[in-house]
Amino acid sequence: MAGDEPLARFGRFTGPATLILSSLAEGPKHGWALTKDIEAFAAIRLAPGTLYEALNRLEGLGLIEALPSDDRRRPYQLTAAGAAALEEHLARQKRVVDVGLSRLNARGAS
Amino acid sequence: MGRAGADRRARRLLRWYPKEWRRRYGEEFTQLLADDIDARPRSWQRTVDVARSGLAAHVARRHLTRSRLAVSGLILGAGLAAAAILRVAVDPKRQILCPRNPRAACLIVPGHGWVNPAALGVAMLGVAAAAGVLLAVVLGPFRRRLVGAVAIVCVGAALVVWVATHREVVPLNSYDPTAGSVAVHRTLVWTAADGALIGIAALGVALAVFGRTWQLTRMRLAGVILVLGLALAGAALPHLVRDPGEFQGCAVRAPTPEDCIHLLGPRWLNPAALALCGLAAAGAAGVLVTRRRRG
Repeated sequence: MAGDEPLARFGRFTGPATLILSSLAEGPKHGWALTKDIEAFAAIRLAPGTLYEALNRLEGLGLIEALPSDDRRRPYQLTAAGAAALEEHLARQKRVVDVGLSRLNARGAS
Repeated sequence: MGRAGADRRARRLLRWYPKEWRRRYGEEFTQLLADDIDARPRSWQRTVDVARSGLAAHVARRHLTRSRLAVSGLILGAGLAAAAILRVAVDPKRQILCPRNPRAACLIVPGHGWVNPAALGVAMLGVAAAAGVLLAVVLGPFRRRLVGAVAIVCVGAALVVWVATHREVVPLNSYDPTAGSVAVHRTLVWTAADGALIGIAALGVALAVFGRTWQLTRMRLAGVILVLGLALAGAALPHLVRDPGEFQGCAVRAPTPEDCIHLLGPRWLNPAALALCGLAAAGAAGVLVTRRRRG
């Protein structure tokens, strides 16, 4: 069920949360690095307020954690729970994508 | 823009967030904002996003309940609905017959030709009160007092605008009103039941909202809705039922009754207006008593 999935609890923040987790899957990143990376791979620029609102929620659910830092840029990394939640969410999304694409292809062929 | 300038602007934007949030994320968020400002020096979307997100953080921290949001929504809705009613009910350019002289034509003269002043005043009242309620919930006790004072001043200003631009009926039979006569008429309008009702509504809202403790009981909510609804209904009703020639301002300069200025105000001693005033006052008293008991 979609409700069992941690990311489903994010409501309208599901999109930003998925983008953040996907970016952090590569390795720890701070806010600005996240913004640039997401812009590069998804062509979406997350506004600072939205980014930190999503980071705050993800951290609250234990899906990401902050790392110690010497300067003002604090990096975040994916936790094991975060990696599992992202995998589950993307697998679900992939099924939707596959069904949608196959139906579109069938429609084009007929 | 230099780095110092970006940093200064970032710190200004950070003020949208509550203290606890700033303690946890302040430094890193300021850094991100400064980077963003460096990349895009001018962006209203960033400001809107930060403001929205900051208010959301306040709301999350204060556990804003549905009933509290409902109060502000109701006040805003009531204000705007009343404004809409007035807008439909009163045509500022309509010509009517002078009641004392059916052969002469009278013109309703609004304070400003481009906007319906009654609708403007009531809408301002509704918006100011709703904004006050919302900010009172969101802000801390000290700022709440400040915002409370500002909201009450806004309501007062709305009342002044509304009363000062109240319509008058001027006969078109060559009467030339002087500045003095207009001042007298406006002073008389100041005491009209409409102004009293709106004043009571403002008082009721202020009492209910800016108390020391923010415990919204059903009683208090009912009191606010009662006071506001009755006051706005009272303000709207006279526009629908009154007789425009009921009161004449003949004291200043009027050789014959036909040359009098007819004030388009509510009837003096209008029983319906009086009853509404009484009910509104009872509602306001109820709110006050409830607040004292809780306090």
